[in-house]
Amino acid sequence: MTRSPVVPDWSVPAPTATSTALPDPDPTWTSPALFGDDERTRRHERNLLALIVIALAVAAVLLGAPVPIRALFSLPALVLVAGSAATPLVLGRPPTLDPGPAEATAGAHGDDAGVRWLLTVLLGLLSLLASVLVVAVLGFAINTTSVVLAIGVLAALLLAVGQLRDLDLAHAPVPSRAAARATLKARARGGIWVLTAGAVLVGAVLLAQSLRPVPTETYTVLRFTNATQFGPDPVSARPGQQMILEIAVQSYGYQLTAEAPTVAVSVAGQPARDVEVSFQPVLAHPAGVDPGDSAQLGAVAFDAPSKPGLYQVELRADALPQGADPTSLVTWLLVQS
Amino acid sequence: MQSQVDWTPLVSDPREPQPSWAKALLSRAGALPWPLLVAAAAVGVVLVGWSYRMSAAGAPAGGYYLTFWAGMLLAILPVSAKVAAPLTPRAQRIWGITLLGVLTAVPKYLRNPDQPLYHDEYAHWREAVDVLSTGQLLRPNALIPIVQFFPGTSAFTAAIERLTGLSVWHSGQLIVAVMHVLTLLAMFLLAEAHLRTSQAGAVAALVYAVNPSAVYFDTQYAYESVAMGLFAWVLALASLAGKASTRRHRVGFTVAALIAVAGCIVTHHLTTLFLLVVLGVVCVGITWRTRSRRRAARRAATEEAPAPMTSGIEGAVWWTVLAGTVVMAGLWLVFVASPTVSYLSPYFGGSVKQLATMAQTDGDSGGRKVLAATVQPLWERILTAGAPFVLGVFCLVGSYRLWLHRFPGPTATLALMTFGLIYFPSVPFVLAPSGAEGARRSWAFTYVGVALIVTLVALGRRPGRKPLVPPRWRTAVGMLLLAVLLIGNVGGGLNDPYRFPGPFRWGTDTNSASNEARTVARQLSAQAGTVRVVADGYTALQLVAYGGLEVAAPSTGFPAWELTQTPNDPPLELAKMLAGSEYDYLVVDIRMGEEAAFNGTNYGPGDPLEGQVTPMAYLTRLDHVPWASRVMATEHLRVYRLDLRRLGAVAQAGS
Repeated sequence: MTRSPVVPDWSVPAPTATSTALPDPDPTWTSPALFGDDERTRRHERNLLALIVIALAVAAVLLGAPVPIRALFSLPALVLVAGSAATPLVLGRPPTLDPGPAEATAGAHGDDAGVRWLLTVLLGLLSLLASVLVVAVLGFAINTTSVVLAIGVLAALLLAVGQLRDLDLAHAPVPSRAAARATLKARARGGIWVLTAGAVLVGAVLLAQSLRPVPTETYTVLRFTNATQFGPDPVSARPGQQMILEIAVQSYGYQLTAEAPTVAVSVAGQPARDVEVSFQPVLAHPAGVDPGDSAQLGAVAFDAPSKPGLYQVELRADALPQGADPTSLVTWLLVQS
Repeated sequence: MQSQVDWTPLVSDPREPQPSWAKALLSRAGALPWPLLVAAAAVGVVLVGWSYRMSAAGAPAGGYYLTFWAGMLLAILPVSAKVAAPLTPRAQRIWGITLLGVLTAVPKYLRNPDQPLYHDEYAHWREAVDVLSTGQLLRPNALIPIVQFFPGTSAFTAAIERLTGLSVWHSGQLIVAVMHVLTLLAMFLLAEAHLRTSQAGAVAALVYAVNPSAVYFDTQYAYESVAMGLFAWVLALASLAGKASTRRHRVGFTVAALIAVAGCIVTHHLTTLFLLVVLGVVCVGITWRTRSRRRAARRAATEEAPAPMTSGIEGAVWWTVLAGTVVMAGLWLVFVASPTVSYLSPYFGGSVKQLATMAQTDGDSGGRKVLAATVQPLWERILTAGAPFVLGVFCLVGSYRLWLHRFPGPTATLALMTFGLIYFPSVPFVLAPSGAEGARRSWAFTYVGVALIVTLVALGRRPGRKPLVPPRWRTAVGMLLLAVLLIGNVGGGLNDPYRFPGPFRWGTDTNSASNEARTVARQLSAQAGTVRVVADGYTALQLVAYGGLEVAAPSTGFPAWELTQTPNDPPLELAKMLAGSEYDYLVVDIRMGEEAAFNGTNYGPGDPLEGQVTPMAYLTRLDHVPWASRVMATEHLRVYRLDLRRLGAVAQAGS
């Protein structure tokens, strides 16, 4: 079988069938091997700029900058700088680009700008993971300061190692200033287009999200607030002793009315003797854990049975505004002489 | 000699001259303007949101399914046509795949944008919350205990939360979305490295993007979603290393692959296991083939040995990655995650046993019924059943062509394809209760190989023969098949309550979630601390996630369900277990007494009332037993403080 001249040989690395890499390689880029003092200075400037970006991103986090700034600047900056610094450490300098078409070189060893960009993101993300793991292994608490300093230091270290090894950021061939301006212009155009497309999609997602009806739930929580009801020991009393059960009523999705709920107490299935019910005024928007829309604290006092034994005590809070199912609480009272 | 190693006839080269009319047609897909693609995607996204609105309002299923798929296809097919077109520049393919990654993550994002809803999401969200609140990794996890030993997801989330100030949930969503996109891009690089064209890379990424787990399962906030990206990157980087022509790049890509391996190992056990399997398949394939060819050469007594399909260097790369994975995974297993083996082993043994039992009894012994009790429209069910057949045809054709050409091509590529064929024997496992989960989860991995085979067939040429599909219809047929796979695979992935919002429905992880249960979780935690609780499987999710409570995991060995699923007091053995483990609270949702659980059970496998409504008398009796005090109540939920000493005494008397 004769090999088609237009088809690559499987036994050797072959060019990918591409027309451009991401971003388009610029043939005016200078090979790192040919760096002069000027290029070297610009590389140092670029590393310095990266360090400044790290410092700004870290400062924004430590100073508690607003979430959008931290989400849109600090996180991407730290991830991309760390990734950009790590990529050349792993892959070495980018390939020297011949002035020919991209496909002649891009796939020659699987190393092109597109792969380097993607690897930058991947290694940047993994540096986030590594930072947290290192913080944990060293015994520091995982908090804002430790995490941001860890990722900042890691990114700076990667830059420093690259500098020492005479490597550069991921897209290292340093273009001439004119070429850099042209590249910047092209990238700015591309960036604007990507941002516009991103904004359109984000807008569509937000619109789709807003279409979803937000279900409103209306319910009531009735609970004991005495610590003894939640403690390990059973509730006990002497015969005839006055018992006080503290309760709370909390409303969700509606407001309790000023009128106190009607509370009935039964002991062993019989109405309790000398029941006194008292409620504090309704609190609108109370404080606390998941406090609901309104709350009312109350206490129910009644006399324990006169004979020793184990009694069921049921407390029914009827006439709650939403009381489709009159909510009740049940406890067991051990009467001992 | 060379003809044996040449499989170029299988892959078309887009640089070949095309007939002018075909070129014009094909270039139309490639020339679709980006503004049009983005606009179509935006409209599609809004339609998906509209379908959720319809389902949440309780509209007929046919309507919201149709709207959903209209939106998805409108969003996905144009960009798919663009990235798969022969003449699309590589950079645009990469951007297109990035867009595709975003679009395939949107349905899950819109499903629950603000809080966890899937079972695993509760566990991982709680893990991240605990990590952030304590400042330490490896926190115990009540819902999925093994999560404790794989801190990758919570570490990523904690880092993003601390750096950005986003909520824990949105930080988790962000890392999952980014990893989802990176997975598809890795698939692109992997297929490009193996099949040698960026078009092949794009088609493989498209096929992978419609795997059964891609749209809902692997976009949920869970460790597999994060690890999946790392898995794909390990394979892509190893492939790039294997194909690299310079030592520097070979070493560099290998090192990068090993870094990704480390990330994968600390993130998810099952993904690491699949990584070991696929690396093992590739390594064994390379070694076996190299040796067999050497033997053949010796037998032929030729001085000129046939050119090896995969150079020794490529084999060394794959073996290095495998060795690194084995060493790192072994160290992690020994020093950090030793309970992993006991966690995973029941799934393997159990599912094989169940499948064998079902086969012996004509499948009528507790097996699962696929698509049973579903509201899916008939057309989606047909496509769900048809998707594996479509893949089967592709794989048969691919295998036949490979056989016809005496299995040409690099061994690593063939090995990855062979790994993909595991997809087919795994399909029957969805009928076995304990195998269904594993089978479903395997598809995201085996689809890597499946995507390579499908791409090989889709782009393959038959020299000297008329193409099966005329070039002018290729785009249309390709998009049609993609739509079939997308709809069929998503339909076969998760069930309706997982995919669509809806009115409250008892017995689902998703549509049984309520603010009422969340409030009870928080209030109980605030009042009693992080106590141990017995609860049904649906309320338990809220109790763990929002209250940080420790919830019992009932089983036949620990039948905690007997507190509500029988009319009797619990037996002495259970009372002892409850007391020994200090399960001081019982939370009951009385809706289990009003309708049967959608998922079949209230407490999971072994529940004695499987498929039945719990009699209300079983629940109301709890107000009259001396060992339970109702200390908190809402319209639907009741919290009982258990007096375990009294329970023990009652059980003792009863026995």
